[in-house]
Amino acid sequence: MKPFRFAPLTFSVAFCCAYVAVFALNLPLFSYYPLHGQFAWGRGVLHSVGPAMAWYGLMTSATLIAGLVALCVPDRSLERVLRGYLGVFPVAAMASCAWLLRHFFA
Amino acid sequence: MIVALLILHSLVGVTLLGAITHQSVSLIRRGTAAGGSFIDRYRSVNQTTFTVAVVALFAGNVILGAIIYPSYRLDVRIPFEEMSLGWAIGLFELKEHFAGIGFGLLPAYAYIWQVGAFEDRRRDRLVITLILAVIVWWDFLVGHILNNLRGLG
Repeated sequence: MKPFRFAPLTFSVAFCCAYVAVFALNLPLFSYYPLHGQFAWGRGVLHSVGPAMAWYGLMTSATLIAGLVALCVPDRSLERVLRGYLGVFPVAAMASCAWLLRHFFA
Repeated sequence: MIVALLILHSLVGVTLLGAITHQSVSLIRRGTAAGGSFIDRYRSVNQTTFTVAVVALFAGNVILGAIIYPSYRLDVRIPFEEMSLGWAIGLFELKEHFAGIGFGLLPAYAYIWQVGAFEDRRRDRLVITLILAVIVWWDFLVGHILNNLRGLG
C-alpha cells in the first residue's frame, strides 16, 4: 500500500466540511484587495485600500485542509460508512452557506 | 478584455450546462432505444463520456470566474450596494459559494464515474451528479440575472 495516497472521496467530503467551517468562522488564508492588487494574510485587515475579497482565501484554506485529510484518511474508511449517503455533505454545505447568507434576503 | 472573458465564461457555462444536463437526464431515465424518439436518443448516450468534459469545463469556468471576480467586486457589487440591491449581492454570494463547493466535489464526481467503479453505488453517482447539475443551473441563471441587472460593460 502506498503511503499518503490521495483519496478523492475523502477530499470532497472534507472539502465540504472545511469550506463551511472556514466560511462560518471567517478564516480565509488570505484576503485580496482588488483596487490596488494587494494581498494580506487572514481576514481583511488593511485600511484605505478598498474592499477586500475573501473567496480566494476561503477556497485555498478549504483545499489545503481537505488535501491534508485526503492524504491521511483513505477512501475505504469512508466508503463503508457513507455508502449511498455521499450527497449529504454537499447538500448540507450548500444549505449552511444559504443560512449564513440569509441577511442578504431579509 | 474583461468583457471578452465574461462572454467566454458564459459560453463555457452554456457548454457545461448542456453536458451535465445531458448526463443527468440520461442517468435518471436510462434508455437503450437507439432508433427511437428524440428523447430516447437524448437519454441513451454513454454517460461516462461526459465526465472528463464536465470536470474540465467546471474547473475551467471556476478559474475564469475567479479571474473576472475582482471586476465584479469593484464595478458591479459597489453599485448594487448603492442601489440597495442586497438580494442581488446575496444571489451572487450563493453563486460563488456553490461554485466553490462544486469545485471541491469534482474529485469525488470523477472517481465515482470511473469505468467499472461503483456499479453497485448508483445512488451516490446519481446524487453527486444531480447536485453538480443544480449548482451549474443555479450559477448560470444567477449569472444571467445579474448580468441583466448590470453587466461589466
